[in-house]
Amino acid sequence: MSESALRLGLLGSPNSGKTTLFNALTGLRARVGNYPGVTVERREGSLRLNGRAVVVIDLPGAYSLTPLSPDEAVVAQVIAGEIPEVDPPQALVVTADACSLDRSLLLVAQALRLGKPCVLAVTMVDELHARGGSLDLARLGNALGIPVVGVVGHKGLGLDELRRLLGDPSAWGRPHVLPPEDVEARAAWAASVLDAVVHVRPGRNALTEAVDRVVLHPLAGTLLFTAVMVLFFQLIFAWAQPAMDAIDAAMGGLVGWMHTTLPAGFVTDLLADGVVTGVGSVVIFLPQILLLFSVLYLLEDVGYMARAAFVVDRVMGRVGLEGRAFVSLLSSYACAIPGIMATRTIPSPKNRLVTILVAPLMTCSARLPVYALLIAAFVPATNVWGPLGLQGLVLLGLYLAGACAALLVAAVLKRTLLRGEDIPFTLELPPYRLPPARLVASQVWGAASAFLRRAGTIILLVSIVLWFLLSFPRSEAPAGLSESEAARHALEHSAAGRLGHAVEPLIAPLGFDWKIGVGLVASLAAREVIVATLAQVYASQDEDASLREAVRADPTFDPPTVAALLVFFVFALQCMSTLAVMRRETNSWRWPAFAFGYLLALAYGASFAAHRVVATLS
Amino acid sequence: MERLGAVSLLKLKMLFNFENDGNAPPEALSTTLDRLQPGDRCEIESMGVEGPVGVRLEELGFLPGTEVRMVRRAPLGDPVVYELRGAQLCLRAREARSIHVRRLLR
Ligand SMILES: Nc1nc2c(ncn2[C@@H]2O[C@H](COP(=O)(O)OP(=O)(O)OP(=O)(O)O)[C@@H](O)[C@H]2O)c(=O)[nH]1
Ligand SMILES: [Mg+2]
Repeated sequence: MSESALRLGLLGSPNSGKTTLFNALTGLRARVGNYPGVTVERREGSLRLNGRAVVVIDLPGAYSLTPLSPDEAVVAQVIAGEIPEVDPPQALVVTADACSLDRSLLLVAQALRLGKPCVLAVTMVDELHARGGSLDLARLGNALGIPVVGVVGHKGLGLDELRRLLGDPSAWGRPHVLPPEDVEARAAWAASVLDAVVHVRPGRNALTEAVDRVVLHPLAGTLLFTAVMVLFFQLIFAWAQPAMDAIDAAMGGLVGWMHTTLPAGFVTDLLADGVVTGVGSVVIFLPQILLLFSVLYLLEDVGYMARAAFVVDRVMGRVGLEGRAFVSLLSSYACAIPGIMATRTIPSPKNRLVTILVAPLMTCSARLPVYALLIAAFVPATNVWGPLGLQGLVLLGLYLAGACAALLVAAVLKRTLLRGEDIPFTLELPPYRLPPARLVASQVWGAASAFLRRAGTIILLVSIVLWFLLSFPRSEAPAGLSESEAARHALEHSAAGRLGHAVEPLIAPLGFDWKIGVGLVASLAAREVIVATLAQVYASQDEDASLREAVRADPTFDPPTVAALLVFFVFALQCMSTLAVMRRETNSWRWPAFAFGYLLALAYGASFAAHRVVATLS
Repeated sequence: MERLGAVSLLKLKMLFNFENDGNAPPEALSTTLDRLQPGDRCEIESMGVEGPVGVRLEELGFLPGTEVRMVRRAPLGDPVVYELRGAQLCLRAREARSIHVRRLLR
């Protein structure tokens, strides 16, 4: 079946609407965003057209078939069939933004020279018309010698016509004369083609110009950006906390119900104190995760990311990197993995490596549960200035600390290990676009379900393993202990308890005890596991208290230790998946090992310093 | 009417500056891309960027004969956004300095 499938490659400039078209054709939900360089990997989807199996291959954007960055290299390799076990596309669907055809045709010319059947999908025709432009698509098709379809992928415009064509590439026709190879000659060719085709060129994009006048204004833009960020961190506590408390209460109720209703014993304890408590302690952070991803996706879909890169390029230049690296770092606020993947758009290999090595310092969403738990438990919910709450400001501070550390480490790396090499910075600024609400909603939902999936897999698994390690071997408690003292004794003599005690001497200088030790060891799998671990540890001692109340009641968590723990999580690279992706993207274990080592050293040092400073202050 | 005003204003400016400084008209028609002010338009005369980066700039549309409008400077002064061939691209001054252009009267 799959041998006979027709393989179609999507080729086009960055941000020209390839993935939108891919999603519309295949019904998949690949990531779309208003930033050049959202797609950095090949992705395939299948559909049936006139009874024929068709595989559509979504590709990263490329300005040219001569690659300059790793994501563009993917395009060239896939099309040339240089990737082992991946058949090259038999035909190409080339996308070109209707508003910048003068530029896009330079790539179209290269595509035509490949000798594969091509269709041209002219995207953004809605924007062309909104800006008063008009274009004769049929004549463009005649001039090029290939079929041309105007499309608006997310609205379904032109898709029927495109589908009709895609079923049968043999009928597409070929250019009468191949366009020239040399870039200047290609530009002359493009001009002559467009001369006969364009009725009216699009006017200026009034909306984008008006918004940029504010957003890119040195004063107004900075104020606006600061206001948005401060508001965001306030909302994480002000808005998300009530929802979170509701989930927390529901989870607590469930655990109580299980203990009273189910037959007492091993299985009930495992389900209630292991699975529900462990997984539930992480799931309650869903509201914060939703809020975080809504903000990140909205900024990207609207078109702000490229502006952010443009604004901070000067600062990044000081560090030795470029604006695009900043966008990778911003993506790492969601998770370091897409952030590391996004470095594929960076042309300079050394700059790319530096960005990969510092990406884990950005505050990923897995740290959010840890920060939110500790802040909610130990930072008073007072207002500092007007409506500005202290909790939100502390969280903002932690995020800023991670970002500053990333820039400092990058500057050091660029001046020592990875010196030299300065490839110039060019970046296209897309027009602002109002993303369809459905698109944003489905992206946020995608992120939320990934978070829940993680809770249902890694965290579930670790919770079960931990429950066993915390419950066995069972030891005989000395007589005369109260119930909670007996529980504590059992815990300390369990396998996990012994492990915690074994690492305690190492972490005692930071103020951490064996319970935190168990959490830290477990959190090497994924950061938020420490929350699940603590939840289980406290649940076995006192089932009724919420985790927040339990840590608050524990004398180990004094201000210096809480500060040290927060700082530890700012730096440490506790994430197996990040290490695996680093290894894949750098092709060796050397760099992930280096990143793990230097971040652990930084975490330990900074955490120790934080403990000392807070201890002397308080 | 507006257009006429702009042209004669530029001429006046050139005349004024020329009288101030006998050596060279500062608003020289021939200049480099980094010298433009927001709103200025020019046509590329020649590209002085070498190597793969030069080729890439050409493939992004920076080609002799292409009309370019300087849109704005970043808040910190660098890079600068240019509009050409229907797209907005930013470039650091270091590269823009090597692109020779001829100013177009507004
Ligand atoms: N108005 C309008 N917007 C579109 C159209 N097609 C795509 N978009 C928007 O343009 C932006 C880029 O779309 P993508 O599909 O991510 O583009 P891409 O070519 O896959 O981009 P990269 O993966 O970054 O190379 C998104 O904000 C889309 O919502 C269209 O036909 N009309
Ligand atoms: Mg894409």
